[in-house]
Amino acid sequence: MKMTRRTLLAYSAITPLALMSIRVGGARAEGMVLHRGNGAAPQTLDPHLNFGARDAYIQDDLYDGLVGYGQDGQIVGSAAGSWDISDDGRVYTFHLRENLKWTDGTPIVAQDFVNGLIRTLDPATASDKAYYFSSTIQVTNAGAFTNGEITDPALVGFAAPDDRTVVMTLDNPAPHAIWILTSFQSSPLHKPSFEQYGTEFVQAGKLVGNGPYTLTELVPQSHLVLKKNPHYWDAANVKIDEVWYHVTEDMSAATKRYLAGELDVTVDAIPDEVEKLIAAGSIAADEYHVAPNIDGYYYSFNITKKPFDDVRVRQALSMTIDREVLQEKILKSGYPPAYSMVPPGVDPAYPGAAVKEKGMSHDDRVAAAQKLMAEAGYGPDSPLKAVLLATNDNDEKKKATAVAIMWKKALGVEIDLQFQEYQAWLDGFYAGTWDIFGDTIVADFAGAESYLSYMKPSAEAGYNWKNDKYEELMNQAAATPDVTARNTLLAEAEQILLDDYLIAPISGGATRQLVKPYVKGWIDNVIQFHASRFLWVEKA
Amino acid sequence: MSDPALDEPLMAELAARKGRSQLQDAMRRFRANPLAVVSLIVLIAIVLACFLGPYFLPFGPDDADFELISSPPDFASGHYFGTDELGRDLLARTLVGGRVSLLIGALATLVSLGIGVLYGAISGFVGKRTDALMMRTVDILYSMPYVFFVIMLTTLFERSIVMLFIAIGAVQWLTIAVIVRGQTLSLKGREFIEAARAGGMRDWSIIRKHIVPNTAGPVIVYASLTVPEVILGESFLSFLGLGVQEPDTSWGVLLEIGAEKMGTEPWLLLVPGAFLVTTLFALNFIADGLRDAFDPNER
Amino acid sequence: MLRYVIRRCIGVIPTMFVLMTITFFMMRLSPGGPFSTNRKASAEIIANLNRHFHLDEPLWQQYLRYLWGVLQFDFGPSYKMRDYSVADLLIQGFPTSLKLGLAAILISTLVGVTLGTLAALRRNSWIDYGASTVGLVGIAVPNFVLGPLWQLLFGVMWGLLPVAGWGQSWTQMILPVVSLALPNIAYIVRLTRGSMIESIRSNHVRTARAKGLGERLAIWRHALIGGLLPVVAYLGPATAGIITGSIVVEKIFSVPGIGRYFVEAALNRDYTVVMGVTLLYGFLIILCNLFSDIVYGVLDPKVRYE
Repeated sequence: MKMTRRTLLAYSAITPLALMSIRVGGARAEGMVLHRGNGAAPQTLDPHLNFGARDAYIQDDLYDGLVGYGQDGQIVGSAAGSWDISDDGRVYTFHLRENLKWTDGTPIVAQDFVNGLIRTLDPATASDKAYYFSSTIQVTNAGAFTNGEITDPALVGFAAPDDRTVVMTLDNPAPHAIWILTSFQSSPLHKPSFEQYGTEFVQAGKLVGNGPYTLTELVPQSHLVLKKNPHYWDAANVKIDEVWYHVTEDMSAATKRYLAGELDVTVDAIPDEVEKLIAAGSIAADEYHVAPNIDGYYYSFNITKKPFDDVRVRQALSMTIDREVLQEKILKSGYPPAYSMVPPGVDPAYPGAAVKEKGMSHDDRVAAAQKLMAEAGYGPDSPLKAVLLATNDNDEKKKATAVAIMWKKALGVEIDLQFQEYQAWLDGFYAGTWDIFGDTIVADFAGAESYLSYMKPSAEAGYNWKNDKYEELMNQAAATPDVTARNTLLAEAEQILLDDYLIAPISGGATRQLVKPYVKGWIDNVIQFHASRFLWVEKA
Repeated sequence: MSDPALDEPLMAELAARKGRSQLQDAMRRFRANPLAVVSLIVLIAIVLACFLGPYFLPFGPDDADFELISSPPDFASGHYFGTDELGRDLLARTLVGGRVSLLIGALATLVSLGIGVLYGAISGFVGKRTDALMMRTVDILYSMPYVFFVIMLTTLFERSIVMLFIAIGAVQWLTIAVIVRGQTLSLKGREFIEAARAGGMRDWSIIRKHIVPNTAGPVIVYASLTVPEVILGESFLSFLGLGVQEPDTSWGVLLEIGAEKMGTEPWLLLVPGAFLVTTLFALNFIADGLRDAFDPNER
Repeated sequence: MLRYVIRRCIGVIPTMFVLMTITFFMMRLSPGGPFSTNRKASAEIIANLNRHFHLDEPLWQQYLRYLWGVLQFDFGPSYKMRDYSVADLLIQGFPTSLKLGLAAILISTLVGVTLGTLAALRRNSWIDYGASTVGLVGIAVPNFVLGPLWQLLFGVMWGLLPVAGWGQSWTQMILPVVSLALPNIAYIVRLTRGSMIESIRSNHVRTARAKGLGERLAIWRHALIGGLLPVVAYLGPATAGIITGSIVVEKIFSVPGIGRYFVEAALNRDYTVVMGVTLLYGFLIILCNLFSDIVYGVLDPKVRYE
């Protein structure tokens, strides 16, 4: 890896000054150290509150749940070495490993895990992820406990019959339940420190965890330093001694820190900037890791407003979005274009569904769309006018502007683009001030159900969409423990959703990261978890 | 009457009565400053280019060509200054964007200047409780969370250029007011003001005839600094949904996009940047020329 | 003068009170709320959150609760950064912003006044044009352009300075300080030059010269003081602004200051944090403006505060 003349060339267009260049390596601490860029500062380290992925990356190093994401993003046993699932798919029994210890050396018992789960649900905790256990999976009485209908935690479907067994009881079978119990979702609660410090028990110096690392330093909005935890059950296989999580809000600045050797891993990257650096030889192509993730992007139609109550109009608009041009040429995002609600590549076992235009050529799509619009009463002389509401994120702006141009070219549609900051955008969604809504979903787990259950009126009333057949299929799927049969039902439901064009799918998401070649053990995966305990640094 | 400062306004009055007004005098001196004159010509050229130029270009600002996305400056395609990320002609967009930016740059600056100078002069001259009240109001306006102010405007009113003026004007006049008040405080103690007072001149006349003209120097300079701040600040308002929105654009918005892409598509930054910098240099030299021309000591 | 200062200090309380009240209600008039972000959470969960933070109470009651807290120096918890109280965030972030800002304001005042004075003394010389150019670049080329450029040159290409980061080495301060200082240098150069020219030509200095003082002394004593007055007035609000940080500089250079909260907390509807930074900023504005008024009075004895 050389950082010389060719990097300059990559940037030479902006600076003719830089002809002499010397690469100075940054000084490093003793032992094996990893510097990770982690985007915006974590909002909380409290595992029972946290909801965001970037906070979860850190928590994955600090806490050990019943199960966890393995090196390749698949589920592996963590604190629980093994587990059994009852035949009806409703009872999960977890068997904890022997001699589990907190970072302070005291033993961990099964009740600690139950306490953690109960704390997440407790209304007094006010955790906005309680819905994982009441809605994403239906743990017995979890909803009633969160809503305050019952107050006795013993009635909730989490129990510790002995010190090494945790039992979870569900109302409905849920093959995805195991995904909801990974490290930061099912972290145990260290009662002594919680009772002593209250919600501040996760601050540096107070935090007692059970993960492969322990928190030694935290400067808000700057960085966190984690040191290896000798009490961890798998400490013998943890290679990196010290992990730094740096706050890197500016993506371009993070790339520069990576180039200068201040970071070994970035949390995101700007594709065209990286391509240019690769072309210049400043970064090797295999340092750039792009992997589809579980985000989904789509445009929703306001079916309560004319003429968007007409499926022909919705279909015509969906058909004339050139998804490939949008992602590959305009946004250069690395995101996979999507023709379905469930983004491609999320779950290989899911058969999937697709909107009608998939497989048609672009010209055919435009012709068909024009015909549909004409039937609906719109044409060159009477153009459709619509309000598109999206967030003020730069990519969202660019996307909406491009889509508006596509619609204008193909159908003569006149779009009034409105971009608002996040909160106002969200308020706008419920206020229904839009015709078309720049929408997005972040799934709770890598499975179709996470996307599809969200479109039910009971989950999101804002769409005003009700389809009896869809409901029926979704309910049927929810009662089916067998994964294959369940997926078939889900795919059928998705096809109904797509045929009705409540939404125009746009794309999936992707995680784009820079990883130094000397960082070993990195396996790209859809979940995008790369726990530090699986990595090591191998410098020549 | 030993301080000649007293004589000067009188001299000016006399000069005015003689038929050669102060303004004419200043204009003559401005014309004698070659740098200022050239700058004025450049500024007029930019304004004309922005308001008339787009009509003579082969591409409209919204004409997107997905085959020519982010293409560098190129003579063959006719996009002499390259295209943006949607394949739109960058020159056309820069010129059209200049309309909004120049308009708000000029108008918002003038309005905030007017308010700021009057407010500061009155506060400083009247003094006492009025001064305290007026300046604490300024302190409060300074401190109010600007983002919420803007969000509130976007919620309560339709997006329009008037709202843009209000959002910019609401803060820009504050520093001018503070500076002018300071100048006024120091002028107030001067003999010629006291003399004017003793001569029976009313407060309002003193402010108008003696205070305001004597603060012109710093005010003109500060105004030339306000223009770029307004032009660049507009992009933040666009971000919050109040400023110009796609497909319309402005220099502030173009520069922000350009800055993001400066490593890969530098023309996106350099083209609008060059227009802005040229405008600012011109404004700067015009401001200096004006300042010199109106300087009461300069003759 | 002393009486004036005392009166101004007493005036801080009503001013802050008005600021707090206006801000409190203005925030609540804006759409959105701190917990509406999560579209998947059920109404009951959102209700739990609102109850937890007393956001379910009538607005006037929330206002009184906040006021009562402020009187005891309790600025409430942050709704977004759940591990911290507002006081925690400000106590941890403000020293950083203060350190950066003081360095930046000091540098920009020294450089700005020097360049501006030189430009005024040698009008229309290359020094003058050079100073003007530096000034214009500082204004016309915003931080979000210059910051990345510095990083690229000094951090990536020449490897002389860290690209970003905080707390490991003092060299991490250099680029952010320069970025913060540059726009201010521009303002100060322009203001100093303008008023210095006026001041040199003014009758004070002429009188001083006529009285036989050496030219240099005359310039220093009268011209500089006269020329600095607008700069002093400008420095009041500018100092308050610069020591409370800049979101652009903080994001680019990963500086853990409080500048980001002015924008981000507002966008997140983290009401208590917005109130916290607003009150802090308001206090500093009042303080800095008072300070610049005092300096003004010292520099120009003709200024009288009644």
